[in-house]
Amino acid sequence: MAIVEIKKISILALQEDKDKIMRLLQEMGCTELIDIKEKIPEKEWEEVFEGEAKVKERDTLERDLDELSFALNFLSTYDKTKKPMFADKPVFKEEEIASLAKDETVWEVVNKCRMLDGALNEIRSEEMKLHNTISALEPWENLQIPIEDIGASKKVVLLTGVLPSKGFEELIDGMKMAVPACSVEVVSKDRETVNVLIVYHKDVESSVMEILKNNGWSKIDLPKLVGTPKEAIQNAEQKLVQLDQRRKEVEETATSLIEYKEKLELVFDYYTVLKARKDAYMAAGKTKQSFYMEAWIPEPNLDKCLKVLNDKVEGISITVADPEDEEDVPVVLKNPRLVEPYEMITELYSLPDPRKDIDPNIFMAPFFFIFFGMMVSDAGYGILLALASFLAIKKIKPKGMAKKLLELLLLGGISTLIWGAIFGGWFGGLIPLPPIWINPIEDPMSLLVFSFILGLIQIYTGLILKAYINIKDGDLLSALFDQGFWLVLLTGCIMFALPGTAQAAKIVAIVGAVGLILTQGRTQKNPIQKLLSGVMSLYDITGYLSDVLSYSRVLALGLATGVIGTVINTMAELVGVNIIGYIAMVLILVIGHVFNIAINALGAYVHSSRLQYVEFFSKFYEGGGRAFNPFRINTRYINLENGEEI
Amino acid sequence: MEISLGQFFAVFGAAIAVLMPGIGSAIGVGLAGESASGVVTEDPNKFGQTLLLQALPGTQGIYGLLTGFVIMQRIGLIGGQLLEISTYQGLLLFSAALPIAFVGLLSAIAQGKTAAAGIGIVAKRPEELAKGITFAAMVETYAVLALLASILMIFGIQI
Repeated sequence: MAIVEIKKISILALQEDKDKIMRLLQEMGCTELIDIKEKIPEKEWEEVFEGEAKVKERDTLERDLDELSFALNFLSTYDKTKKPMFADKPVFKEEEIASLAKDETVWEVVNKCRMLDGALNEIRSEEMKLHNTISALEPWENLQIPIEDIGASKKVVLLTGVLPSKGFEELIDGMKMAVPACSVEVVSKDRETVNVLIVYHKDVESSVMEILKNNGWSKIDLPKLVGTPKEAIQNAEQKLVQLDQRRKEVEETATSLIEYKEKLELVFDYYTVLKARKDAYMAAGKTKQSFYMEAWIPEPNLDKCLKVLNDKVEGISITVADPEDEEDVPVVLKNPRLVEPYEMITELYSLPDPRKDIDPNIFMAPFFFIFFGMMVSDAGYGILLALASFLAIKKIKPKGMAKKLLELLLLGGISTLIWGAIFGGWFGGLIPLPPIWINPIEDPMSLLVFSFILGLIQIYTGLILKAYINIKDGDLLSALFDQGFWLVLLTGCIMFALPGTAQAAKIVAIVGAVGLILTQGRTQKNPIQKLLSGVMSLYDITGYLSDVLSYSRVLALGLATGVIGTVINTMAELVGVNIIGYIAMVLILVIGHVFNIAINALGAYVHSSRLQYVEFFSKFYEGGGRAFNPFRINTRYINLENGEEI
Repeated sequence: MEISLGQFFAVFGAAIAVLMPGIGSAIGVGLAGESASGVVTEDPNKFGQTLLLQALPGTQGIYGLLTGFVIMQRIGLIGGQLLEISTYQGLLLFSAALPIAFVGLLSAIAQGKTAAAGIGIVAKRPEELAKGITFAAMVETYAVLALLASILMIFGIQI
């Protein structure tokens, strides 16, 4: 239970067996290799580690993988075949793929993909250019002069440009008066500007320019093309059609390559496995004849792993050791099946540090279960939530985090069903069933107190766990002083609230408080500081108070679900007056309640997690552990049939 | 029917209970949405994670609606006849709406900023999503407390 014990194995074997051993380890997938480079001084590296050749081999693999993944990405955009969403992966043997991987067609396909991609990019940039040309020319479509004629000739200048439409008429009139050897032709207009062609004799250039510049003129250079703007636009459009044709051809070629996709996937996975193995090589040290490596292994897998290695490899020497204190040991958690989904909550916070922490999951899970149910608190929602997650688990067969999340929701749904029945909430009162225990809307105060009691139980659990950790570490005094006295003081405070124990409460509280005052300053040297720190520590009582009050969210979120449910039902009832109304009513009910489930399940998850992280974990849990990352076969598209995975 | 001052105050209370947290949530969700769009531009696969964070500042609006609705129900505005309400009762209901109105408005904006920052976490380290959510949930605590106070007050007022 809890944190699995991790052992360290050191393997010393012949260089010629290295491949075999690496492959066995990868197939078993139960070890995490330790990079021993860090332990060896830099000068000795070169002698001990794989030379250039091996590094190059690995880099080549990495490059090939990049190419393959590019080609797969490229092809998948053209792959229109619908795949069943959760098909089983095909199974291959490693030797089979090894011969397939030598097939040259794979690399031909990859190269073709690169070429096609290049062609598509070219087409795209050309299209962009043509579109720009067209949009630049569009305002000048009515211009009857070929573009190449615009500009200065020996005596006459033709200019295209823009003038503001405000005051345009006056400007033209003024110009005609001032400079007769000049003509202005309006090509097109929009709301604020006028596009004009101006023709003038070179002799009057300076006076024309002066007038124009004073009136907001800006010159426009048309794209350097041949023919009138209209012709140029038509030209460009024709080119666009041609480009589109070319694109279709390229895409057809790409589609014809899809038949090779499976082959590519196969090689991709095979190379991934090979690269992982090469990476593993880098972690091991070698001499001429032998090599040495270290790895972490969870204790339950140890015997089987040793047996496989000893049986299959002759002359291998394996030593098993406990990890040393300062070593960075990875964490593997093992919990009962029902608690497993809750590991996710802890994983998202931080894994336990095997040197300092205990696995909090088994203590946290019951609280999370209860709080989630109380926050959603509607039996009907619970049934739907549990059913939906159950179906999702059956249909999708998720793995890892997704699996844990769905199982968490399934358990949450069950808890919701239980609490909903207790509170008498069935789809916000749509089905009027009496509460088994209490109706939160009629008697919120009792439920508030109940939430606080649950909070107190969790805070006590946290303190007791910290005391347990201290005792386990041999720090009896800390357990007694830091946790014991707080437990006494808190108990005293609670007793004040109970009828008939006020007298005893005073004594218990005082014992706790005095204990804290006397002990909390024990790290200080100066006696005055000792006392001061002791007294100051009592201030932490406000922390405990706010922790307990924080549990009021359990009631608040529970109330929110119930009331929103009622709102939905009332709205539905209001519209249900005729046939159309009935349809609207059903719609409101379905959409409303689904929305309510979604928003409240999210809220319940977030706030239940928060209660664990902030109120519970803060009492005893540090975290900072590192997840176990086994050296194993990790494929995306196929399953590699192999020896035995442990 | 004669409308009394009490009825006016009660409806006014319901109105601000919906109005202010609603504004806050709209701003908060908007802030988070802007950051989320930025992240999704870079990596469209993060849509789900960022959406989760964006949804968090939206709850204040729901709490506000809830409070407003409870007031409306208590004064018989929904599904019945508007009840006779004295000026003092009306003022009491109005006061009861204040916690969620103000805390909802401001906490939704603050939570929106925190969620936007949390989306920044997701951009760089998607595996740390839960921490971003927790930071945002810390802000929401006060909206939940305000909701609780408002609801308890509304239920406690004799009509």
